[in-house]
Amino acid sequence: MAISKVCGIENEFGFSVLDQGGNQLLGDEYREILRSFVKEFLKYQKAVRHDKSKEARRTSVITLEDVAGLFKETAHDVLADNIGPELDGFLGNGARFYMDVDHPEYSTPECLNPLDLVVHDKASELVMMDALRLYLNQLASRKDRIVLHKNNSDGAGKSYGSHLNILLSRDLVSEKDNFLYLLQHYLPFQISRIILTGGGKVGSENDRPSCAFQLSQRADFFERLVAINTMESRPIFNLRDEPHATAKKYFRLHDISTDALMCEYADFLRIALTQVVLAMIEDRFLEEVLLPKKPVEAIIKISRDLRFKEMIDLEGGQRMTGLEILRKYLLAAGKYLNVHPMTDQHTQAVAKALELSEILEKDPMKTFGYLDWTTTWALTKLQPDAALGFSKLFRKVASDGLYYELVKSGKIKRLVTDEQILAAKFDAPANTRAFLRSGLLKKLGDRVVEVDWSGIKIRVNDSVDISVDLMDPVLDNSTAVVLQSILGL
Amino acid sequence: MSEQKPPEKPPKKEEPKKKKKNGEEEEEEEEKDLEADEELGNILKNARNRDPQELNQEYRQKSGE
Repeated sequence: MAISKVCGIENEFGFSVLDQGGNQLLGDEYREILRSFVKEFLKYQKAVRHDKSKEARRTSVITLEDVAGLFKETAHDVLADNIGPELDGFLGNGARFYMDVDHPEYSTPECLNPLDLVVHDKASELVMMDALRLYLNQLASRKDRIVLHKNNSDGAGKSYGSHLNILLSRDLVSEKDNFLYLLQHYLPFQISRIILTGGGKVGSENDRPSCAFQLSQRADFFERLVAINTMESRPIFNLRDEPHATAKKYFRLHDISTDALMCEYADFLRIALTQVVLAMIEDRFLEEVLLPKKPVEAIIKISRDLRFKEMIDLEGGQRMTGLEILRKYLLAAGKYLNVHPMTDQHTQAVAKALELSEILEKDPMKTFGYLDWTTTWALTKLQPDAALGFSKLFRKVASDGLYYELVKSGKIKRLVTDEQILAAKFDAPANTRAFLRSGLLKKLGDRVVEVDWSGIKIRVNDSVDISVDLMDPVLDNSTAVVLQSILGL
Repeated sequence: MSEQKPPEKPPKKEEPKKKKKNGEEEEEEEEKDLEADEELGNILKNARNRDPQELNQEYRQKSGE
């Protein structure tokens, strides 16, 4: 039986620094400003430092290499991307804020419900705006201009991620047969999901076939089917398995194929549909294999298929469009939920996805405000002489960013409220371990000597530390109630 | 005063044609509602005035590397 789907999103934000003359700063100068941006915000927030190297030693990291036996991959060195605790910390809402290679990155607290994660994903934008305000008010020694974007590509051939993380049953990858079933049924969903959850992008990159506009920000950057790396020769299905939880019970699916999203509906569908499809896979509900013969070519083709007419050759000899593949999943999801109910949110997501998929086929512009890519496409069609600029402005993370202007005027369809998003800057969801992390950080922050996803160490006195185990990501109701009374949350 | 050149006005668009099977004309038809949306037009116009640098086609965002 499928387990509860604990999810989180990591977004690397686009970060540009321009000098007074409008020239972009690159290299060491850029990196120094980025370091200050991250470091000073963590200091201001009194964030508790996160030392990833300690976490790596404490929690076992299992690679899928031995299980799958299919891919010649080397074990991922979790210490390789350790950037130091002064640039890496946990905030009071249970989220992680840090510098990752050349970007500020935000990992949401763990969430169970799709809408909770939408709220926390949107809150990440507010946190980035706060960090920018702090930097500009207190630290900018020169008149540099910093621009933040919630996107996945700099338009100059470099991509950065918006990773969706989901904890799944370890059984899914404990045997080769199970793992192959996961791959066969998840890959076609990943490839066709961009029809609802693509961010939209002007032009092409990475030497892929040229196009004026495409559905996905990331599609051009996938070069392989399956691999463990995330930054070069990117795979559609990533093998990194760092559960940050009881490894015997949980496998962490690190899905690097999704785009960063601004629209609440698109984000909701990304999370909820993925949870349902993975539940169907855990329950072995799916029978028809819809795997394209050439998955990398397929995602690039679907990303350019703005009218849903391109046929994709499947392994079984069938040919169908990306939209037809996606619809097969949505129809199966509807049937699955009838016999294996999840939550009302999941039922609503599947119904909305089916509705939007039908509208898309007739008139994509009618999904303006629901989906990122159609909203961006419309903007670029309305302003063809500045298509690239408007596509970027839509994703600009600042109070005058175009997305927020469209929200103010009611052009963006809403699922959550501004009040919920604001609250998520400070509070974690009450049904995951993030609630306990957040509570302890807020109440005992000055005594927390170590924190990571799966545990917290608190100093009781000069000679005694106590460790709080957070290896189980789900918090049951009774524990939450007890914590509320003890911590006064 | 900004040295940035103001963005050029968008070229005048032809009147939307009647819907035919031709893909481009289908697109024009689809955009009609959005083009007629005055409020949206004003938001985009204000964005042009407020953020000319962002809209400059020559400016390509680059990552730090």
